[in-house]
Amino acid sequence: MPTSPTEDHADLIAQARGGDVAAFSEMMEELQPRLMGQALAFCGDDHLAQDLVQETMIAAWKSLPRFDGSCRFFTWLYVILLRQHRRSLGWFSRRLPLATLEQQAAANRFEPAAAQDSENVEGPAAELLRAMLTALPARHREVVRLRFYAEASEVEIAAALGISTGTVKSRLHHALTKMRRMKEKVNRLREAAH
Amino acid sequence: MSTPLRDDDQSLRDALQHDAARISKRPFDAALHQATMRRIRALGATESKTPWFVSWPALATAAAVAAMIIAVALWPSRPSSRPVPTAAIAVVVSPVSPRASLLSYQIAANEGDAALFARLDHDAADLLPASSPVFNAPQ
Repeated sequence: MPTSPTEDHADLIAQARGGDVAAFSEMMEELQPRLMGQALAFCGDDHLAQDLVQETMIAAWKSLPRFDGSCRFFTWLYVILLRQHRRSLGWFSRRLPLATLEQQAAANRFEPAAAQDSENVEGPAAELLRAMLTALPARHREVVRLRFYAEASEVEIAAALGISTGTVKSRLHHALTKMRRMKEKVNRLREAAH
Repeated sequence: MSTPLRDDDQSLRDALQHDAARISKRPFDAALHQATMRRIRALGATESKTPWFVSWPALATAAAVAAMIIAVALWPSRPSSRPVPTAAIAVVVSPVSPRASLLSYQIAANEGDAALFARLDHDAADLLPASSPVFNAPQ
């Protein structure tokens, strides 16, 4: 598990929690590139990703006194990022119906020019994987993203979300089962199309 | 039976890890960082300039509610605010009417009609005003 640079800077976190804006700025300088990469993967658009990172940083500053150090700072920040993203989507944050997954994957196949321009489109398989992730209920999607994309342990996820480790395991299990079923259904649709 | 499922889950886990690994860090965006920190500093300045009674609306509301509760709780205990019911006092201080019992009527009946009517008149005088037509002599 890669550690966040701020793990070595507990003193900076303590100073920032005490209201030191300069300490917070120093921490965010280190974390912004990673946060931006994740935001871009969610949004697929530079401007939206910048807005998302900015709102996440501001929300993090406001909530900093509540950070208790029970998980890595980046994991805590990632939870804020996820929730800001969900809030920014509003109604669209609801999961997509399964029928749209194949359409989305097909649409990406017919847009090679866009795929060449974007660093985030790595082919239909990756697109389908992210579409399946989007189709999950929010509580399942949150756990999957924290586990695989933020590389947080189950214990850390439990601490960051305020739930038990058993609940994290259960949500992860259900999320993977749902994704597997979606994949099977998409495969059947593809076979039927051919 | 469980092996294919576990393999499927593992392949899904591998795919997710692979996808996550492809998400690279972006170059540090100094302009974005500075803009964000400006907003954060402005936030702090606004908070420090805001009067306490504006920045603590919840506290002000709680204080107002508490004051109202105390006022309501103290209201009945103030003697000047409670009107004295004169009628109630009259009821309390008035003696119980010494009306005759059934036994006294039986005794009066045994003594004769005059005694019985005298008893009835006495009780009627307790219940009715003296000006009542009952006490007037028949025309």
